[in-house]
Parts: sequence; structure tokens; C-alpha cells
Amino acid sequence: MKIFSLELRNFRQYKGDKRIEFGTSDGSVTIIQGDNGVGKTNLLNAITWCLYGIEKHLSKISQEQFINPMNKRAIDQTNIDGLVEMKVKIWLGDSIPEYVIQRTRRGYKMSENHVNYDPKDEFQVLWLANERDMKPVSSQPNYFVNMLLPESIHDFFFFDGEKLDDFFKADSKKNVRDSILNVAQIGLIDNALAHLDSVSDDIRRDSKGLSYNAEDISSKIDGVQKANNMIDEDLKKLEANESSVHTEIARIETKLRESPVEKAKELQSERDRLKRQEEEFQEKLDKMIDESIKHLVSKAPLVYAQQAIRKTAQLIDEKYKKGDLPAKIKEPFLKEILSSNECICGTDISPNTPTRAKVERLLKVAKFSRIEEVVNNGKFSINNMLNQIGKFDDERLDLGREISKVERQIRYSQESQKEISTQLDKIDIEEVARLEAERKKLDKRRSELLIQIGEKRNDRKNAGNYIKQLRTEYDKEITKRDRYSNLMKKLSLCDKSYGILKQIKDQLVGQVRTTIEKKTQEYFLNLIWKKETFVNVLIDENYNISVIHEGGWDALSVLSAGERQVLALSFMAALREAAGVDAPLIIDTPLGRISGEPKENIAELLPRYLHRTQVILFVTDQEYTPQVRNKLSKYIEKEYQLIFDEKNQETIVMPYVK
Amino acid sequence: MEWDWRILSREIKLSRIITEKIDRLEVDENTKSFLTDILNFERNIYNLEGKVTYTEQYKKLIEKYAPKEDFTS
Repeated sequence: MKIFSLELRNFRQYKGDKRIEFGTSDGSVTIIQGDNGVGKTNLLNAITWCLYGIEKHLSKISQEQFINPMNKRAIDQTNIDGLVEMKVKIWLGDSIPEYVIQRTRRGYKMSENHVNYDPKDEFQVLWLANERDMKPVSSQPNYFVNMLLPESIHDFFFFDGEKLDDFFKADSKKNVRDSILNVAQIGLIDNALAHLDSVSDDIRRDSKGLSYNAEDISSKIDGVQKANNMIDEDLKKLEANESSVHTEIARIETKLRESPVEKAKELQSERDRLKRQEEEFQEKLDKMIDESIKHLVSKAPLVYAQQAIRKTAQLIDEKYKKGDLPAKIKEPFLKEILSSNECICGTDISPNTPTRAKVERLLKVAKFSRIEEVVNNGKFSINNMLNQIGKFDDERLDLGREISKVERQIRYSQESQKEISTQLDKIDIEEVARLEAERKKLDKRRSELLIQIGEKRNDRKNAGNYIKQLRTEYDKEITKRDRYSNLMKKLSLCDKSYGILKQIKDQLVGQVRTTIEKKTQEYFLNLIWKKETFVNVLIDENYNISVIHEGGWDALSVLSAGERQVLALSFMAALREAAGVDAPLIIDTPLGRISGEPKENIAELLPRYLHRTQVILFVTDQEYTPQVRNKLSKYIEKEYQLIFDEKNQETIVMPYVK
Repeated sequence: MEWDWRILSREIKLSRIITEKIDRLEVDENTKSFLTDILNFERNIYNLEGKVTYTEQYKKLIEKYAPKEDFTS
């Protein structure tokens, strides 16, 4: 794309409206000649301000002072409360103007010394649909401009020739590297790399604290399970023992029951009865204990909350005493009379009657007092709770007494059985005494076994609970392990993708570097006048640039100012070409540092090697010698000179006069 | 209006170069698809001047393409 024209309004020394038309045929050169300070560089500033909203070529002093670019005389000549406007407009296109990029700054003059500027400049990109019709290109003019000529690489298209000489002076490696990276325009990959990096960090943070020990818990479960199996085996043995002892006792008791000794027979029968009785009591006791637990569970919450319940009851009572409760008007009653259109007293309450309106207002009040119905109903529940709390202590005492009574009955039965055993011992018949002694021994053994069985059952229960607890922990650890493992897979995808993108980036940058090296070499060797002295230009992988002398050594450090200028111009032209952006080349003071014949050589060769490019040169009269003008003449399409009008304190643009 | 192809072509060219490079890589299809999707996303947010937050979109794509562990076996 080419710049067809540049329009300025009140931009720095360009007071009022100014317009510059540029040469637009392929390889054409536009010359703008002016003395130092007349406003050449500010034309460059006008272009960058229009495109990017910033003057990129300000002197150090101007940068530090930050002077508003609005023309001072234009402000002075504006009345108080009047509008002052600064505008830069660029017309672009290939063969005809197709786009207009314009930036406008407006302000209102509040006093002689103060202008209140709009907080934001107006920025537009317009598409020239036809001669009369201009349409905004998009809602994102910045994006459009960045696509046209990215801000990051505009330096390779619009630059100050006098500063080019510095390019290869200090830290040339950094300058070369930064330029190549900018031209490669790998922002897309750089963004993806930065984003991948950031998201990877998030994943790493998430995975912290997700270390798991599922395996440890699994081993513990196995260990406890094994111990539990052993308990089970022991329990089975004990239960078998107890069963055989029990059978043996039953056998002895049968013998005693069938004994020819009447006394023994009687005592055994009595023991049978007492045993049955004890079993019945035991059963009764178990039931009573269950009942007692249920009673406690159901009533204890009420007892704990009794203070709050009593307070609620007290508040409700107060409401009743004050007459706030119960609700005076019942909602169902009002609804019923409204639906029948007649009050119970016979008054007509048909729609649109004043009485009906009154009843409807009452209904609204009744709706608000629904809470009263709830409280009213709740009163009965609260009374019921208080009633239960009142009975609680007595019920506990009764239950306790009943339990103690049954426990006493069991103890009595057990004592009686012991007594029977003693009496059987005392029967002076050897067989009976022997059987009872054996039974006693077995009974003792059975008691011991029952204790051991109880202990084992308890152990088994505890082990079961422990396994249950461990399994819950294990499940949690497994969830953590699964999450950790998935996070690691995500991280692996990010790392792998990062590596691939980095590799692609390096390859692309490498390719761009090689292209730039080749093009710089081509331009330099064609532009330089000492054709035999220099044989090559190289840019190595570390971005070191070398100009190879015919003697085989690097001559970069011994190049003259003119030669360095040619190298910089060649590098710029190469960067410009590698960028793949079709934009004009604007050079401020391109030949400022070059004298004599080399100046003419460059003037002759530069347009030739930029033959497809629109070239705009801002030159001083020292640069634009008749010889230089002569060399450039066949390429020049437009030629201007800038004159500073002392009287009006403004720069005017006029056709070049020899 | 339609975007000016002369302006867009550079970006499209770069995109195509990257896509071709990714295609030639000896990596699994999942990773290739993931890379293609994130680069498409980057191009779009560039167009939208950063109006879209990347974190959410990246996490969605990672969720979609990261291989899942089969814990049932």
C-alpha cells in the first residue's frame, strides 16, 4: 500500500490545513526538502501520531517537555470557549486511494493559557466505497492499522537516516536480534508460549498438596484384614469350645434330672426353673435398656433446648396477654364473604362497592398477619414440648427403678442357682457330688470362654470399624491420586506443546535471519562503492553481524560512517522485505552522514534496489545537492520544499524551486 | 465490509506455515489438535484486541485434549 496524501491541520508548526501529495507509481521517489528545524521530522511524527497515537521521532528535549503538538498560534487565535482542532489524515491505497486513516484531537479554549482537551482522540479508519461514500472499516481501527504496518516494525519503514549510523555502533548484536525477532512477527507464537507457561503454573499450583499415600493405607487395610481373619478363626474355636462345654453341662444336668436320688432330681428341676426365669428376666432387662436409650434419645434434645422453648412460650403468652394473638381477622372468613358478595350482616359487598374495598383492605392486613396463625398453631406444639420436659425426670426415675428391680431379680435367680449347687454338693451320694463338681468346673470354664468370646467379638467389631475408616481414607486418597495423575497428564500436554512451539519459533526466526542475511548481503554489495573491498555480509546464529573484507577478516569495526550508513540502509531494506509488509519507505535525512561521491552513489543505487517501493525522502539542502538531485531525477515524481514563514510563524509546503 | 486480503495475507501465511510445521511433527494427533486450537484461539483474541481471557479457553482446551487416565481398570 502507498500513501497518496497526507493532510495536516494545526499539527505543530503546520498551522491551518496543509496537504502533501506523494508520488505513487512503482519505484517513485518523493522529495521533501527543508532546512533543519523547519518541520521535516514532524511530518514523520504526524504520520506515527496518526497511525499509533504517538510521535515516534521527537527529540529528547521535546520528549522530556511533553509539549502538546497542537499548533500554538491556532490556539492563540481561537476565542475563549472556542473549539480548537488538530487533525492528521492519511490517504492509502494501491493504485487509487482506498482507505483514509485519521486521528483528531479536539479541545475547548477555557482561558488564554488553558485548553480543555477531550480525554480521547478520535481515531478512524474509513473505506472509500466510492468517491462520495466513506464507511468505517471496523470497530477496531487499531487492529486494522497494526495489520497494515505493525507498530513493532514501523521503525524499518519510517526512520531517521542520521541515527542509522548508530545502529551498528553500540550493542549491534542486540539491535540485530531485536529487529529480526520483530520482523519475524511471531507474536502469535510468543503469546501462545506465554499463555501455556502461565496455565502450566496454575496446574502446578493445583497439584501442590495433592501428594497421596493410597498405597500405605492399602497395606494397613491388608494388615488389619489379616488380623481380623485371625480373630475370626480364634472366635470360631472359642465358640466351638463353648458349645461343647455347654453340651457337656446339659448332659450332666440331664443325668441329675433323671437321678434316682429324689433330692438331686428336685434341686435340678428347681435349677431348670430358675435358669428359665433368669433368661426371661435377662430378656426383659435387654428390652428395658433399649427402651431407656430410645427414651433418652427422643427426649434429651427437648431437655437441652428447654430454656429456649420456655422463652418462646413466655413470648407467646405475652402476645396473648397484650391481645396481639389470636389474629382478629381470619383470612378464610374474609375470602368467603368476598366470594359470596355479601357480609354475614347482609351488607352488599359486590365488586366496586366502597364496603368491598374496605374488606379487601382488611384482607391485605390479614395476609400480613399470617405469621400469627403459625404462632398460634405453634403454641400447642410448644406446650406439648414443655409437657414432655416436665415429665422427663419422673419417666427416667421410673425406668431406672424398673431396671434395678429386674437386675435384682436376675441376681436373686443367680444366687438361688448357686445355693442349689451348694446343696447338690452336700448330698452324701458320691455320684451326685461328682456330677455337680464336674458341672461346676465346666460352668466355670464356660464363663471363661464366654468372656473370651465377648472380647474377641469386641476385637472383631473394632477391627471392622477400623477397616471401614481406612477404606474411607483410601477412597479419599484414590480420588487425590486420580486428580493428581490427571493434572500431571495436563501438565505433560502443556510442556510437550510448549517444546514444540518453541522449536517452531526457533525455526521461523532462523529462517527469517537467513533471509535477512542474504538480502543485507545483496543490498550492501550492490550499494557499496568499494565493490572489491567487501566480499560478504554474515549474520550468525547469535545475531553477530560481520562485513567480510576481501582479506577474509571482519571489517565491521573499521567501516567509515558512510559505509556503516550503507550497511544500515541495506539491513533496513532487508528487514523491510522480510517483514512481508507492503508499506512505503520514509527516510528522514537519508544522506546526512555521507559526503561526496558516496552520497551520489547511494542516491543513484537506493531507488534502483527499492524499485517496487514508494520512497519518501526528507532531505536538507546539504544532502540535496544538484548532483544528488541529478542522480535521483529519473525516479522523482513529487518534489516539495518546506519554508518557515517568520511572519505567520508557520511552515508552508510548496513545490520545490531550484 | 470484508477484510482486505492484502492486509490479512501475512497473518494467514504465518498461520499456514505454523500449521504445516505442526502437521509434519511426529507427535500424536491429540497434541497436534491442541496446538492448532490454541493457535486459532490466539489469532482470534489478537483480532479481538484482548477482549477474551485466555486462561478459561486454554483450560477448556487442555481438558479436552489431555489424555484421561482409565482408573476403572
